[in-house]
Amino acid sequence: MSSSVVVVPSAPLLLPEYTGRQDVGADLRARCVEAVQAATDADGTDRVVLVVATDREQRGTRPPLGQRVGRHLAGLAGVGVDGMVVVAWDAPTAECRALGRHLSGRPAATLVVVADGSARRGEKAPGHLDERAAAVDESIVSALRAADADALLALDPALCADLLVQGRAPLQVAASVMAARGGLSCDALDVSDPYGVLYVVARLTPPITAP
Amino acid sequence: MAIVNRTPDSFYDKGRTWAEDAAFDRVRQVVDQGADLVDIGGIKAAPGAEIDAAEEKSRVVGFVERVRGAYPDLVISVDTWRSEVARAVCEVGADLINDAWGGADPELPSVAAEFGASLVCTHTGGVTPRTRPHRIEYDDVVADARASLLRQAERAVSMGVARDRVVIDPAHDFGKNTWHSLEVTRRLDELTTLGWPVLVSLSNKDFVGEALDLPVGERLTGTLAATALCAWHGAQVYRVHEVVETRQVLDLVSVVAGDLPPARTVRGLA
Repeated sequence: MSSSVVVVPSAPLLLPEYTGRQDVGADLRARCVEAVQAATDADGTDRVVLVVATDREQRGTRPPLGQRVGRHLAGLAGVGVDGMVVVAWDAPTAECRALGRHLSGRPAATLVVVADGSARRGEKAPGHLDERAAAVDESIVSALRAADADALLALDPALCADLLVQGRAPLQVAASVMAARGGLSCDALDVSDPYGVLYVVARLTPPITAP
Repeated sequence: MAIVNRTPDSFYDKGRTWAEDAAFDRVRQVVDQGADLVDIGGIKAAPGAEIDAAEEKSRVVGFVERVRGAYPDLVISVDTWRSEVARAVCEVGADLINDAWGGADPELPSVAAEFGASLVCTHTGGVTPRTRPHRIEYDDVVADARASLLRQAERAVSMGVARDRVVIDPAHDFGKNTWHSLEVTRRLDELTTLGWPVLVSLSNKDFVGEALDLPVGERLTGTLAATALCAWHGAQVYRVHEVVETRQVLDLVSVVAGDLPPARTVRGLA
């Protein structure tokens, strides 16, 4: 029995502690919550497992942003967090594969993968413009659209690091799980980049089996 | 400290003083308006076209020499993170090196020491020069700034910079989101009580813009409000675009604080 995989962004502006008088993350947050709810409904569960990356620039003692964002979104979706995989943001693909294999050996759970594309998509982007960002981001989006685990596992860690792709490692952990489970297809995919960072909200679900 | 940009692309003036004569006119204007120092910079802070040391020097060294010739007593600061550029401007009379990128070049203090120049140490959270903050977090941004600034200041002194020639700057918006810059402003007394003069660079910055949701060009009032708060907390140097308005704010705060008598007092005293 497979379970769904949900991808949500890791933007700090999704967290209440960073929200100003205008809630600039409201629409994105709503789409994330909707995706988590739809996935857990489809899986017949009210629990999720988070897959998150460590922070690229760790300066404090707080849990990684992805962990906090994931927990916040799960809470808003009314689901509990049963477990968490924290992967180094720059972990080699082999390590991501191993983490995914370990995860796929456990009872299937709805995965919420907290992951972004490049933060170098334009001159006003956090990481300024890198001409290579668009192609790498497109490969991430198309891999998710096709639920193509191999394509996600083929992402180049060094290139992704250059492009400030925060989500490469957690996506590869999830891809490793997908490869083991198989049979997922993309039911919903929403792409945006209002601030120069690629946000993807995606829901990959197993086929509906006849009772 | 009046900003004089020798850049074609700075965020606020967008090249208004890119031409050397225009920059020189700006120096004359800000001196007339009551600036105590000018801060001459050849590279905008934001990411953009790579400007190497040779190009940076071509933008600022001759200009500093010209300003020094015309204004023997004006305090001239140069905004650079590169020791190579710092050396070149000190050779032609710069008094102060404004190291806006938090000691990215560890040799900078030795140049200041060699020439008897002053040095501004800044807190950037260790980011690479000309990068924007991206999801940076601190347990306590003021504590981080305090520790970093004390470390840099003491290191500069240990490398031979005179103790009374070191200035510290929390560097609003550098390696900081708006929440961080607001907290630094609110708790600036934790930096002004360290025994080093504090410089603040608030002018028209994004934290002012985000606090009020106003674009560049509409941030003067907010800048001046932040200026007043920093003045009340004891900051001593203000890096600004608008000299006249800043001077009025600082004079008013000084008068209220009792550090400066009012200019003229007749009301109720006749």
